[in-house]
Formats: sequence, structure tokens, C-alpha cells
Amino acid sequence: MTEATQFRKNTVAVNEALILSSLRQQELVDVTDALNSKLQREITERKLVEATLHESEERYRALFEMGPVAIYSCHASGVIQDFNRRAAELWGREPALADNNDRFCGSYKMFRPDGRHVPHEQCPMADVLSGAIPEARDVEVHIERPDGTRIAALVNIRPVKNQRGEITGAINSFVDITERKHHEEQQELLLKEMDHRVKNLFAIVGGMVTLSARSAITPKELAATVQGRLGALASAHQLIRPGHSGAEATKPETTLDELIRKVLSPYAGPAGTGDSIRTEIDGPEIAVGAEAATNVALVVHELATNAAKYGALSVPGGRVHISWAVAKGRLALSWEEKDGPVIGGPPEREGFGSVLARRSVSGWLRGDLNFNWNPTGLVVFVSADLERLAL
Amino acid sequence: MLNHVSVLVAEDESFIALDLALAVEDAGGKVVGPAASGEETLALLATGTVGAAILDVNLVDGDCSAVVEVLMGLDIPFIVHTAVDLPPALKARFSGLIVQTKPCPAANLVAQLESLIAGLGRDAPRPPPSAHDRGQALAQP
Repeated sequence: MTEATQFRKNTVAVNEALILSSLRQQELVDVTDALNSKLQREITERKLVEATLHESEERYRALFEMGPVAIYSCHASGVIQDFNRRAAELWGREPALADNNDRFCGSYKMFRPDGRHVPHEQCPMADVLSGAIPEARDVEVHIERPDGTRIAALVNIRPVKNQRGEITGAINSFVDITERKHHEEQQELLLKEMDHRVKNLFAIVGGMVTLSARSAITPKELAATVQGRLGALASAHQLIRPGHSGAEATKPETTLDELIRKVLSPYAGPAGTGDSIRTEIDGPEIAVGAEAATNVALVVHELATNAAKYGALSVPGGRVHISWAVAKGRLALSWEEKDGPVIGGPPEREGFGSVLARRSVSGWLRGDLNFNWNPTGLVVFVSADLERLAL
Repeated sequence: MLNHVSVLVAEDESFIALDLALAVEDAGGKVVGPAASGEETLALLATGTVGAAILDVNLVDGDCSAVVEVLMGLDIPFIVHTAVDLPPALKARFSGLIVQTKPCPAANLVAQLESLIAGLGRDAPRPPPSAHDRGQALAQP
């Protein structure tokens, strides 16, 4: 082989090799391109999935954190996996996550509504995780916070199961019902108080009827007496009806002036002459409590009834002047009848209304009732304890 | 009949108090009181003349447990007359209290007291109450 021949051969070989190499290179580029675009597609897809997942996660996180409901979840072992802000608020603490010493419930202490202590391993969450109960619906528990305050809560717990149906954890959502319970208790108290008052009122009216029947001569007289006494009680009740000043329940009370005017209103009209007022009422403001009011009303009513039957209010032009003053924690009230019929002296026997009035004053109001049968008109002095008046 | 037994009436509502007092007198008993407050009731009990009692739970000065304690201590038969359930503290402290719920006709309550006294075999007359006797005023119609 000549050198020239050898050279040609070599050149051909090199050329062939070069052609081959260039072909392979093209192949490699093609494969790489294909792989690259596939990867690109996958990356895009994954990013989309991740974005969707993140969005979903964010949405659930927001739901988890935002609601008024406290929520936490536990692993089957009882360790707490997650809890929201509201749960931490209601517990008054933040439990350690995935900590074996802080299992089943993040509360400091738990109690049943009857006050018995519930250890955490016996709480409703523990019962759901163990399968002892399928779920918990509106179970009331009381939670004590580390600072000693207590709240009442309703808990709802549902187990979380895997595809084989095994319990892998549970979710607890609970709400604070402390305020609701407080309102319910207030309502209950009010109803009990009303029930007590109604029963007591029936007892009072029962006594009133029996007592009035003892002194009445005719059924008509009995009816009038009972009506009058009921009216006095109703006047007192009307004035002390609670809750007519704002939403705050304040102790119902009235004033002596208001009460006397109310009870005497049937007698207060102008006298027969037309120009004078039959009752004059004059005294400083004195508070009269709900319970004392019925007694005061009764005393005033009995005095007025007596005056209308035999005294100053039984004739045209007759008047009653009522005035009072306060000294050393006591009320001193005077009831003076004027321009009535001439009084011959004390009645032979004390009327039943007077006995009743005396009982209310001496018993209830811790005071005295004195009748002075002056010829110009009856004068009654009443004393009473201001403390009792305010009851 | 009450055969002159001195019956303490502790009741702050005037109508009920007088109704009970007259029912006691109708049944032949002697009235001690009526007392409107626990303080007054205790003072009357201290006179040593009380043979039986009718006791309202809510007297004007509140809780009647001090009165119940004295009545139990003196072994005086009594009926608790109330419009409410007995306060839990009172129920827990004294078992076997005889309770009559308001409203109840006074005559029925007094009849119940009579049988209570008869059951105890204590209807022998007690010494009559001293000068303190409001029954005279009450007897007038």
C-alpha cells in the first residue's frame, strides 16, 4: 500500500467516523431534549399540585384557626397533634405537641358538671380513642385553667379511621357555654323566686279572706273588705315591680311618698266643697323596699278605710294630713284627721283593721302604732325602723 | 283540741300570722306571739312558756335555722310552714322536720299540730303564758 493510498483510506475512515459521531450527537441532543421537556412538564404539574395542596392546607388552617370553636386532634396514643388558638384560650394554656406527658386533653384540670374530677386518661377523648364510646356529642365538662378560673364547655369528638377501619386518632371540637349556663341559672333563680312569691301571695290572700270573714256581717261587706285589702297589696306590688329601669336588675324599691299617694288615690279627690284636697302628704324622701311596701300599704289602707267609715273622710270637707320625719334611724309619721265628725272618745273595742295595722307595724316594721282619739279628729303616730322599711 | 297548749306563732306576714293565731285560739290553744322576726321568736322561746310552734322559714330577719336549733334543743314539737323548698343547709342539718307547704288553711295546719302533740303524748296543759298575751287583742272581731 502506498502512502497515498493509506492517506486516502484514513481520510475516508475519519470522514465516516465524523459523520457517525455527528449522527450520534444529534441523537443524544434529541433524547436530551425529549427528557428535558418531559421533566419540565412534570415539574410544572408538581408545582400545580403543590400550589393546590398549599391552598387547600391554607384554607383548612384558616378554618381551623378562625372559627369560634376550639379544635384539637389527638393521635391514637392520645398525644396531641394539633390545636387551634381558641382551644388554647379556653384551656388557658398551650399543651406540648406530641408529648407523652400531655395526652388526651390540653386542659389543666377537668371536672364533670357535678364537680367530680376527671383524670385526663378518663376524659371523653380517651374514651373515643379507646373505642369505649363511638363518639361524643354535646358532652358537658368543666375546665379548670392554671389560674384557677373555671369554664363550662360542650365537647364533640369524632374518631379518625384508616382504610382498615382502625382508629388512628380523633378530633375534638368544643365550645364555651359558661355565659349561657349563667343566664340559665339566673332564669332558674328568677322562676323560683316568682314561684315562691306566688305561693306566698296565695297564702296571704287565703289568710286575708279567712280573717276578713271573721269580722264581716254580710257577704257584700266581706267582698268590699277583701277588695280593698287586695287593692292595697296590688298598689304596693305595682310600685315595686322590678325591671322598669334599664336592663340591669336592681333591687326593686319605691318611696314612702309614692306609696302613700298610690294607696290613698281613691280618697284623694276634692272634698264635697270642691276646693280643698282631702289628703295632704308631706315628708322627706324615704326608700321603701319590696317586702316592707306591702306592710306599709296595708297600714295606710286600714287607716284610710277607718277614716272613710267613721273619720274625717266620711264627711264632705274632711281632710287627712300625713307628715313624717326621720331621726336616729327611725321614721316618725303622723296621720292627722281634720274637719271630720266630732270624736267622742276611743271606740269600745279595737277594730280588726287596727289589729292588723298594729301587727304590721310592731312585727314587721319594728315600730309602734298609737291612736289618739282627740275630739277634733283622730291622730295616729307611727314609728318604724328605717332598716326594716328598706327591706 | 289544743287544751291550753301555748303555741308560738312565728310568721312575718300579718294576714297569715293573725289567721294562724286565731285558728290556734279557736282550737283552744294559747297564742305566744305572733313573732315576725327570728330575734323576737328566740326572745319568746327564752321565756320558757312555749309548748308547740308553727314556724315560717323566711322570717323578716332571714334564716330560721337558729330558731329550729333552739326548738329541737328544747324538744318542742313544731311544724315548719313554708312557700319554698327548705334551704338545703337546713335540710342537711336537721332531719325529720315536719313541713307544711303554703298555702294551707290555718285550721288544717293547727289540726296537724294537734295530732303531732297527741302523737307525742304531751297534750297535758303547760303553764299559761305570763302577762305577755296578745290573744286578748286578737279575740275581738
